[in-house]
Amino acid sequence: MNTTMIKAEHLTFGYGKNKQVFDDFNLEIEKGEIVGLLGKNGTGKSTLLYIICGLLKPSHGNVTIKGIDIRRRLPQTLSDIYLVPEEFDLPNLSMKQFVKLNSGFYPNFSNETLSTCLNDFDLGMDINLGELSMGQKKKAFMCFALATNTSLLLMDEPTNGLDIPSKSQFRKVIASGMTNEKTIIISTHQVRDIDRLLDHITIIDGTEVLLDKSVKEITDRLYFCEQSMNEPTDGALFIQPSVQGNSIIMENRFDEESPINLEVLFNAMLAERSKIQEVFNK
Amino acid sequence: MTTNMNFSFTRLMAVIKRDMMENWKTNLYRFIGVYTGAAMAFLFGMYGILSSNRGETAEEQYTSFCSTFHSILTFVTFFYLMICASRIMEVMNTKNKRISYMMLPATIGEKLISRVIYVCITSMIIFSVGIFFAELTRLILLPLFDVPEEFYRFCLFDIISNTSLNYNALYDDSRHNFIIVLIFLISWFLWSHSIYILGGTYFKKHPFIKTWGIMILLFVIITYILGNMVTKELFLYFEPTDKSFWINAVIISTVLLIFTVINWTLSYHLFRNSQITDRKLFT
Repeated sequence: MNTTMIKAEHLTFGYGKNKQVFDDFNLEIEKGEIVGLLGKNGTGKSTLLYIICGLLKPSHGNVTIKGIDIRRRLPQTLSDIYLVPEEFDLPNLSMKQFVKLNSGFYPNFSNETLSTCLNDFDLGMDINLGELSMGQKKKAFMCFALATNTSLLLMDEPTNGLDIPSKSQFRKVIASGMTNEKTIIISTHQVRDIDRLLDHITIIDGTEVLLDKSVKEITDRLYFCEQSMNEPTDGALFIQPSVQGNSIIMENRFDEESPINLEVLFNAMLAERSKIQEVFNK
Repeated sequence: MTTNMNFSFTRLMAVIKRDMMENWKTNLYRFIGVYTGAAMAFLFGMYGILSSNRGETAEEQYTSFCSTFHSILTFVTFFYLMICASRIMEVMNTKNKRISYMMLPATIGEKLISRVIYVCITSMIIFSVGIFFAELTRLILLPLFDVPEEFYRFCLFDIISNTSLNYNALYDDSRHNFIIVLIFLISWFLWSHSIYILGGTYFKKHPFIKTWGIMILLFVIITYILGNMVTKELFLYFEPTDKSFWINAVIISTVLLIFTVINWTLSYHLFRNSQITDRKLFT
């Protein structure tokens, strides 16, 4: 059984002659995963999401979703993908009207999921989308996105603009809506909002993928810990000063369990990339 | 909803409905604009014709009113349709709107047809309803003016048909020639309309002004080139009484229709190649 959701092969894309973002870029994402797409500003996270849904066309290479070339922009493919962009406009309509007008395009749309999700975010079906604050709009839009039940859900900076309780609600609704047939890609800088949610981490740097591993594989190979200033840091792959002392990544030689620290991992991949990759290549 | 890959009427209707409902404010403002403009034009036009009476009868004044508004309405309708045509990609004029519209699960053809229906038919319905209510307003407000009885008629039909103009007389009482002129005018209108459709698909901001500007520039250049090339004798060649004039009219109509098809094809090509960045004709 084919478990590949997205396959990007030899992607080359630029916003002009001098603004090359991807050069022979390859990526494969499996079904049933929540993927964290991380990268520095301008490394092409949003661009990659747009290419995946066919909103941008690479000059070379192609992207397939469940084996179908996204450039064809077929209704059956588009009805199985939903993108929550960082910024969006919602019409001046009630949620009920919005659902009535748009839900028909998505064959697996669930009103039940929508009302449950809206309840979780303290919103109701009677809200007027034009009168909501930015954060509320985001919550309403994400609820609609989850209710579409598409196989592929792409989210660009979903936690931007959400208040603290909503961030934990966000994690809850994403986790509850996840199935083996779905893939959710979350592109974000707010790594602490989603670090417990992710199954897979992809760190990109435009021309290449710095890290593309499951969280399990990462925590099997790497050990994340916090140490005080006085403790020795011998054998550490990466050290980052923190409030407690140092945040450290070490090779997980004794199969110890440790929660992933995405911020430290991300900085480690930028600063000590070869050391970390060596651990995975062993 | 159907997952037909080629064309689905149900999906087309859903795209149109979504477009209409999500832009209800724009449609309302457009209606208010047409209604207000037309109502004021009808009232002030009528008042102007009545106040500048030079001894005409009431019937002559009414005919003059209808004749004036026939020309104005023809001109305004033409420009209105061109402005609407140039706004064909209004749903994609910002990045957020482009993302929303491009991600809509419908074929490129369905989305384009939905926009064409919107800018041609829906816009014309809004215009007609606005004009209709403007005329009703004129009739309601008539008691405020001291006007002859003739002006109490519902004048829209008289304005549109404008019985004061005898078109057949212009074309040598020949039905055949009249049809050719009609075909020429329709071809010219369709070509002009397709130019603004193409401009609307190409330019993201101020498509009407930009397309209009380019058309004026082209007109000036072509006129200058033709002015240097064409002799006076050649102009005499285009006498309406000459049979070859009508042959030329048919040829020009055919050429205009071919260019219309080319413009529509280019518009479709541009729309099909739309990305969230600028639309490019050659990709």
